[in-house]
Amino acid sequence: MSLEVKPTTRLIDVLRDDLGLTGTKEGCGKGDCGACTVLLDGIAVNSCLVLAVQADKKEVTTVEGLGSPDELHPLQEAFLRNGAVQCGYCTPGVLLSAKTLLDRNPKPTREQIAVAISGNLCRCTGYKQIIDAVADVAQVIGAERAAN
Amino acid sequence: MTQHSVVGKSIPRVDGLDKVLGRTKYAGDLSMPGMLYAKALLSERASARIDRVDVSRTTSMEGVVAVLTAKDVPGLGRFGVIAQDQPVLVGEGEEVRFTGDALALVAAESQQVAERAVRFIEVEYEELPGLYTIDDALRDGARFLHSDKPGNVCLAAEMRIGEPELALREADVVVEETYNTSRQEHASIETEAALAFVDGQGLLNVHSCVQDPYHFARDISRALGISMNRVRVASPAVGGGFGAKLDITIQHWLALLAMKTRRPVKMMLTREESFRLHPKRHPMRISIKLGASRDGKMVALQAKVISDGGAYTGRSPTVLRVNQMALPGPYDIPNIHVDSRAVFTNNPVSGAFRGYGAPQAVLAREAAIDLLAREIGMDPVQFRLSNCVRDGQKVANKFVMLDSPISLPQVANKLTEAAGLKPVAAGPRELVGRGVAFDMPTFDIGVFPGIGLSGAGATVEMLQDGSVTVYSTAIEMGQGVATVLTQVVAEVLGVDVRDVEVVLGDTNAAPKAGPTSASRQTYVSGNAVRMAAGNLRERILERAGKELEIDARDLVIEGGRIFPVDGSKPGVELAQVAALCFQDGISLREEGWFKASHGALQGHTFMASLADVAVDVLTGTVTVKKLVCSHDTGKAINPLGVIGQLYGGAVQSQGYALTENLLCEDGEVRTASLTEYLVPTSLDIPPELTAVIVEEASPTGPFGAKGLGEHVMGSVPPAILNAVCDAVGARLTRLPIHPQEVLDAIQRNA
Repeated sequence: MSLEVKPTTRLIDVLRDDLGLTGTKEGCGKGDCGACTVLLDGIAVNSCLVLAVQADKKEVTTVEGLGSPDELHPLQEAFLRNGAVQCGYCTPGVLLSAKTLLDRNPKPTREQIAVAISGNLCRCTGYKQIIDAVADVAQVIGAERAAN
Repeated sequence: MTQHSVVGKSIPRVDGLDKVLGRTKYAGDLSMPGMLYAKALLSERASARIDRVDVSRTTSMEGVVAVLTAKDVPGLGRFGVIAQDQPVLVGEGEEVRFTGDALALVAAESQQVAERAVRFIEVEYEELPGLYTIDDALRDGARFLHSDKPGNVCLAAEMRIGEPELALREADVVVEETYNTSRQEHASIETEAALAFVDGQGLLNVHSCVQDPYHFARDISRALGISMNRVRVASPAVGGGFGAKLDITIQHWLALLAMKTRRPVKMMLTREESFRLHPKRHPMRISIKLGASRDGKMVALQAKVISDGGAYTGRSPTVLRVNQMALPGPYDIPNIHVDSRAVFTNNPVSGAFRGYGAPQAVLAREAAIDLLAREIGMDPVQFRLSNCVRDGQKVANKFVMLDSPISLPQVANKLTEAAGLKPVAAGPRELVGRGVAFDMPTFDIGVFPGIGLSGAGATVEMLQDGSVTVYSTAIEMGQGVATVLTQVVAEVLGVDVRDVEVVLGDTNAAPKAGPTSASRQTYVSGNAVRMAAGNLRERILERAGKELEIDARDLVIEGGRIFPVDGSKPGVELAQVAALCFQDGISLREEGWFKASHGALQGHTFMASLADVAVDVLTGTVTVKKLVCSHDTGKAINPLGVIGQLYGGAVQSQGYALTENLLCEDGEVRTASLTEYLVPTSLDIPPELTAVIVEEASPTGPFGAKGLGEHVMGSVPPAILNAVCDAVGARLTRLPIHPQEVLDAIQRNA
């Protein structure tokens, strides 16, 4: 996809305003809360701190690209199953932080999961069920690998 | 015991799929063609008279469509749920009372232009002496922030039962202490946002994240001088509320701009603005005195409470009364005197926050009870249990009607069972301690007339294909009410949860449900939809009975089919009966209305929490190692959601106890970002976090359910405080527990 953007435009504004991808949320505009987390070439970034031009020739993954209603990403399924979603405002960002963790480390410990999502503030859940959900997926991946 | 097919099952939340897919629309995600962007000019002073507001440099700026000041506000021009004393905009010659007061509004073609334009508005302030603490406000000769409130007292309220002075004189053991609590900030990850427009019928539409749409419609209509039926308030998904979204912050401004420009107008607050604008948890100073006999019977409670209500009335009166009612807790204390005052200051307005004044009371009481138990030489759990009110007994607190069994002994048993042995092993440079706290939290506080708590309605409709829609103005803000209402309706109508659609938060679609606060919606709206669905069920069975030539009373609905209990006939599809009703002109739309049956507090329950902490003796840092919450929630409609409320509330409570403090200096918020105001992260949660549910059915709740969302905020902070006191062997009296104060306490003890 090709887009012309102003040099001062933030990545989050291009996603939300120009492309209508409102799944990415803004919670502070300062990189404090992580609600706007997206993946840039697979690495989690705060899209409020990234200029749109910095995404030039890079792959941007937002929550909209994670899964579809018929084919949920295992993390999305696990979040539902474990009660890891409450108000849902932080959820897209947390999902992407968890995805980048599992892509690099398919068998993280609970501590490693907590570190990976520590840039994503959640005011509702107390994080425990989020960590449960990510650990759930890690276990499934681990079991699949063992079976192969 | 009745078997339920849907109620009591842990199902994934009904709004979850859209949320994990990023499809859910929050207020900030809404947009319309021709939409304008709004920005408010907030006061730079917390206490000043406005000499001049000059917008002349702004009005001519390219892209600026409207610039409004106080002169442009029609109607009363003020708002507030209890007293309408907060100005929509502060005008020339008037006073600003906190840094969330606004002087002008700009609507522009783009966000950038709106932001730039407000900077060109010139304001001349005449500084007035500020009142920044409760002592400033109560000092002799202090100026009055509101001329009709002498002494800056917003409300003074007393509760007196028995002969507390006499009882304290005659008590064998008396303890006394003063506790101070912080100004807690909700810090929902979604800041306030709204989109307003006047539609083709001339109806003012306000779409915003709000916890009580009808109250917003009322407050906007009164403030701007239009009748309530010309205002529609609709709430999309809410990205966390916790009480912050119970009252107007920006919605009146958007309504005004939409009326003036006749175009859609949108605003979303920055985090800093959000910190400044919405009401906070009241900081309180509570001096408490408890007396007991030598054998451990509590005989008297005396307390003096002063709360910092901030610049306007907000919800200070009701928060103060809840605080007062919460003070005695689950204990049988025959002599009580509580003297409470809420005062005005030039700080941010204080208002609703999960627990609504109760957490401060529970903190003071449960900390003081630990002192008392230690003084008498009794185990803190045993001391509490031996003083707990018993079945059939009346608590001294006249507002509370004990209508369900006293489950505290069970709750406490489960707590100690889940907690295991007291920690003895400390790491190097560590002190360890354990603390407990008990509570009797409440829900559906129907004792206050005027703030809309005492009734709730909901509509349930079955369409001719057998699918069901529920209309309610309860708000889904993450706590799970959409799922609870779905489960209740699916249970009653014998349909799958996937066949039930819940439409929430729209004053033009659904009856008044009252505020989504006070842990009340599962209870009140759960009851309302149960009634509506029950009536609908009767009508459907009647029609089915006619069709099957069987008495309706012998029919059941299960899995979307209606058939005789005895299996004598094959039955009929529910959808088929719905279609028959449609053909015959039989209404399948029902409204349920639930009203508390007496003037007293309808709901109460029991809860206990336990914390194990480690204190670093070099830094004074407190780490919570284990947190256990045991809660009588009544029938858990969705246990997965109940557990989530407990975990989330426990961690929010830990923040309140250890790190959260909205610091204000001269009325200015000094911690207006999420790096300065410290909410817990995933790295801060206790390694062991346990929630135990006790399900003692409520005689009046839907399927025996009770309210629960706020309750955990009460007993967790004092459990942590008591654990730290246990670890360091000294009294600590202030939230959040500051490492320096912990170090000082350790030193004092050494």
